[in-house]
Amino acid sequence: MRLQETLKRSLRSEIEKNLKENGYTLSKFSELTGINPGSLSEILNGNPPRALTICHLDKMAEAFGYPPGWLYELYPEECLGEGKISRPRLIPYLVRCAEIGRQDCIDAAVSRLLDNPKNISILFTVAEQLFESGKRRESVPFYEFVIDNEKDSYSNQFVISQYRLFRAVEGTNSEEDFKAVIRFEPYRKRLAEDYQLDALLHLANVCYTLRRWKDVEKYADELRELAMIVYEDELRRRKNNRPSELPKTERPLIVYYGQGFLLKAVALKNMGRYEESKHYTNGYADLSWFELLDEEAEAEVEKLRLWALANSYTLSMSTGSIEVLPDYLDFLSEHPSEVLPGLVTIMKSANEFGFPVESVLERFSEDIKRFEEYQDAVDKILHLHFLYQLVVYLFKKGDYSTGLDETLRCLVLSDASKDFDYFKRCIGLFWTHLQHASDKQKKTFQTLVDERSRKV
Amino acid sequence: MKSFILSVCLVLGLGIGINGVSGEVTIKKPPTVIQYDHGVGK
Repeated sequence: MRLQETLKRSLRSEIEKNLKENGYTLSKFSELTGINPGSLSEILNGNPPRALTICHLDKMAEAFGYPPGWLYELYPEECLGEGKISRPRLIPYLVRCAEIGRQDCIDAAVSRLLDNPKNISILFTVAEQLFESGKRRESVPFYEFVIDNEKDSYSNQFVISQYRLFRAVEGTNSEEDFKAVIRFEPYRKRLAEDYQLDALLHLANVCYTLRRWKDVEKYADELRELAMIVYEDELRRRKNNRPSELPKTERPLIVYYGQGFLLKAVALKNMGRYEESKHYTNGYADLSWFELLDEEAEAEVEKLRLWALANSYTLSMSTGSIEVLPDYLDFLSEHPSEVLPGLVTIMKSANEFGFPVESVLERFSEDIKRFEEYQDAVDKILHLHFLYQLVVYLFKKGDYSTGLDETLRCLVLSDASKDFDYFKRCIGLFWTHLQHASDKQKKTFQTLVDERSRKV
Repeated sequence: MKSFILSVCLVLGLGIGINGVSGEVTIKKPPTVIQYDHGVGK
């Protein structure tokens, strides 16, 4: 008790010291912090003193001119006293520590909490609050504390922590994405339906970016199956006049069902199983039969219909059936957001099957000029891929001068995107056609290569 | 010409980092988010 009094005075004595140094009365301090004068008096002078929230401490720090985190190392005693834990004070404290990077305070608090396994739920709550407020990176260590210390691998907080870790890391880079999939996927079926539907969708998408087609297929199958089970359960409930129990997913149920077909179809296409791909593309082309469609869901049905149409064109282009090209071009004209991926497909197909695309390039010349302005990471990579295919096309038809100019643009873009695979490919292409290069093109090439070699 | 060839050779070694401690050679992978198929990830 005496130690606790000493420690409490330490936190409060620091506040008192600063009050004296600044010459603030309680009234003035109340005005500066926005803390009710009665509350302030109870906090500083009460017997026993009223507990200080971390929000109070932050306001006091600001009033004294200190940065966030002032006296945080002393705060645990407000919430971790003599075998008692105050969750309403501890949880916001840990959340704030994570937000401002006070790892020292987190480590000190966590080592005390983990003396008792029941306290893992506190760390889980902190992790969830951080995750849901968009602070995914900050939430990761707390999910890791839960996973490392929770003995029951079927417990809700363990399984959700595994899922959140996967979502927190998702989209970092291919190596981290792959590790995240391997770590999380054994637990995916232990999730409740609402989490599981989103989990399967994200697993399939990540495997798509990793080009792991068999895995995309597997998760797409599970996604369709689970979505249909949920759908049929809900229809049965409605038929029997029972209340709705639709899981609370991030997207309408139709998205999981439709994407289950879409992802299956694209996986099959990328594995060269074109007839099967066509069958699954038809599966999401018209989902208007789906009941439970509100306005948002109906908009998703329409998007899926358009993607089915676009992907049927893509499938035809992949197999050299270029008679669909005019319809595909009309589609792209009507849906400008699809022009970039569409042109990558068309250029690849032109290079593979040897058909002319001058009229296509002319038709979309304004769109192509705008590709340079795209800032999104995916669009930049697609632009790079388009430029590369364009370069290959130009060299095939013998337009060396334009081909070399575009190679130089491709080099600049691949360097900026840190895509060294494409940078090397462009070096190779330029080198191969060096004898056609003008002095100016050679000089530009030399400059680009010199700049890159300085960065190695 | 020699400096040109040297530069190209240096650049062709791009993306290869050498761990100075163990001497291990690692290949850095570029980010892969390639979508030619419509509707994926949307």
